[in-house]
Amino acid sequence: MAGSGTAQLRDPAAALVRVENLVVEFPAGSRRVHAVSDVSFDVFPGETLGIVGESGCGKSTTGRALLQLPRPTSGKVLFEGKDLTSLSREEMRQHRTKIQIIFQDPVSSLYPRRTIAQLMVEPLDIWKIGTPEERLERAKAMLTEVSLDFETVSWRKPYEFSIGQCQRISIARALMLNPRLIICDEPVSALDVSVQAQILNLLEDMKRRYGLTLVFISHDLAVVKHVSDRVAVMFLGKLCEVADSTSLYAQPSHPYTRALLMASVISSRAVARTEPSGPEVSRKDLETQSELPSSITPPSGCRYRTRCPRAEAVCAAREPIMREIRPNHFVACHFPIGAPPSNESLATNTNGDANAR
Amino acid sequence: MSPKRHFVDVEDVDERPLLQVDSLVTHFQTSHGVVRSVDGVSFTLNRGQTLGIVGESGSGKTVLSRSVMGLLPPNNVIREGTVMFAGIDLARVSHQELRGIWGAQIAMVFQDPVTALNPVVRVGRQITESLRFHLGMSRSDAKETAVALLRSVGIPEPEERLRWYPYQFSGGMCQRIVIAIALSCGPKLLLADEPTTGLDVTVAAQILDLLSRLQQERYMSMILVTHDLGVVTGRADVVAVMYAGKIVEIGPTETLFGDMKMPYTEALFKSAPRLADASHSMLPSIPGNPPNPARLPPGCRFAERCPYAQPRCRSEEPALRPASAPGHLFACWYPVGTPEGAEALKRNRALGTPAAAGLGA
Repeated sequence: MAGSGTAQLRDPAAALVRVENLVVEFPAGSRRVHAVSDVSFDVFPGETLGIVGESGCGKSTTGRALLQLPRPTSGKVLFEGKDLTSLSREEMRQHRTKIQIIFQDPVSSLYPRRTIAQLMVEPLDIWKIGTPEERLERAKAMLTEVSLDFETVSWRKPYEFSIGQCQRISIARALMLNPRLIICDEPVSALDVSVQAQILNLLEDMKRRYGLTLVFISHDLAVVKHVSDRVAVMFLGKLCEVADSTSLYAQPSHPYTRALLMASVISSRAVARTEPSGPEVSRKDLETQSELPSSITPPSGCRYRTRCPRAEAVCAAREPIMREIRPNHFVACHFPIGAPPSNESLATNTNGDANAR
Repeated sequence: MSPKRHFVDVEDVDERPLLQVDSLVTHFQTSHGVVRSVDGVSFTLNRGQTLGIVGESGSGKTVLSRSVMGLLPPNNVIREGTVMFAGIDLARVSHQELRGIWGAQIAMVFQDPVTALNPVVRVGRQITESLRFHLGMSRSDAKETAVALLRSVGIPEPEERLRWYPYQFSGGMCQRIVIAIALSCGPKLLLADEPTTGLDVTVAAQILDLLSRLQQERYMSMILVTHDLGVVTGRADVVAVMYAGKIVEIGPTETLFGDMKMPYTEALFKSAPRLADASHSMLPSIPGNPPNPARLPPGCRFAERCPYAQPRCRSEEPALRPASAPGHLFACWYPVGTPEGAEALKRNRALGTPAAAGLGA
């Protein structure tokens, strides 16, 4: 898994966001951290793309790279057909109004010394939209949308609210400029189950009402399933599997997707709530999970091979390329579950030469 | 969880429960008034058993586990009730005596493993410290034991890792080290307070499996505190659901999940997303927030958010009463799955109470 390729991309004209061969690297002394390595995906208007993976897999970096925070090392980010990576600072600033982001920790993402009213109207102040009265009106309307009462809330400061309420304020604030795309970076990971349900419902509701497109980043497969139309599974800076959420959960084909599903069954959150419908999910898959390999010196070939129970010689020699194994179900694996092995793996098996090209 | 019976150490067999908490009260005096964090909690825990304590943030579950251990601030605390641990009342003993119990008899695993460890001390010394203090081990014996402990919690190359500092480990690995420290003196009771919150799913699953395995091997009792019902299923023998400082339902795990009586347990259970649910389905959420523990309402504390609530719930507080299955207690006037409950829900639906609408079918 953890492969490259662009087979999963759809019609460029219809996509709101299209990411091509995105690479983000950070310097680490004399070496480089390969945070995101050749990732491609697209999101259609009104769609929710879920990005799932463990800590350190590059999912947040991918989300931030959409906003050019920081600018990717290479690759393209097309938003409404325009390549954001080629824009000047000022042009990018103009574009950021259409893309908003909601972070994991809502308390620290709200400036602690401002009142909620100040925080809410700030985007409108910056863009000089409307009169001060109109700005407050808009803030009031948006807070009402997220079930907060403007009169009781507006003069308070973030520390006076619970995490769930702060997340509501963050959502209301993200909506102030009428964005087209919202990147949700683990928006419910810090919340209790009951509050999590409230926020997930709210996001769904807002999405429907404002025709939003969402990129939803999370490590929790059950949460992602709830909100997503399409799901991308990431491992160590690469995409493993991209599919419609129904197909992905019904037939997880990448060994890593399967291991993740198993983990959420046995551990927190998703538990007590029926086994995944996918075939042959076993506890064994989880036991093979060790620490993440280093993203400074990632494994050759498939980056998942060091943890993969199905890995063979070809996995070390050749990086698997994204291919369609079922309609609209793409996987980057030489030996996917429930689908024929890749052509490269067949070729090397018959030649007995892992390095044959 | 019967297989753990095989690990009984004959000398350790004692018919009496290991921990008996009776009408435990922990109130804090603050400038906002008296905060009733734990307000009359009773339970018993037998040797080798696991008790799961489930509740939302602010339900008092962490204060409860700290009260059991005696880890409370010295001032402005009102404590009542008894905590009998192996024949000693922990609520009455001196700080000096507690020092001999902490770590040796009762150990704790905290939520955030990275801050639970001292950042400027090598992990080796953090593990050997309690071995040398409580068990009086020599430096070399303690080191040997520490290596064995690290190996038992699944840390590779333990000899090498003893010289590492906490920042060199990932969150999951730090939690393993915290568990190793907690287990170092062979405690009879382990308190795990949200041991997997903040960890990734794959790592969380490993940590929970590790805790269950070690608990069975050592015939240890465990209190597993969490906000997630999923964590306690299949791991706890008994589950207690806490709300606003009280236990509102307690029972053997299967009974509790199979036949939940308290509307709060039901709501908590339903609000968790499931892998089996279709995409974009609405989650039944619990409306509103838990009550302010300094200004608790009269009557049932959950009434404000309860889909079943009737006028009686807002004036009269229900006490814990037994359900049909042995050991299953709940505090509710209109329990789930009874004719009264069904009728109450129907009445609220007809009235269009927001809480009733939110629960779904």
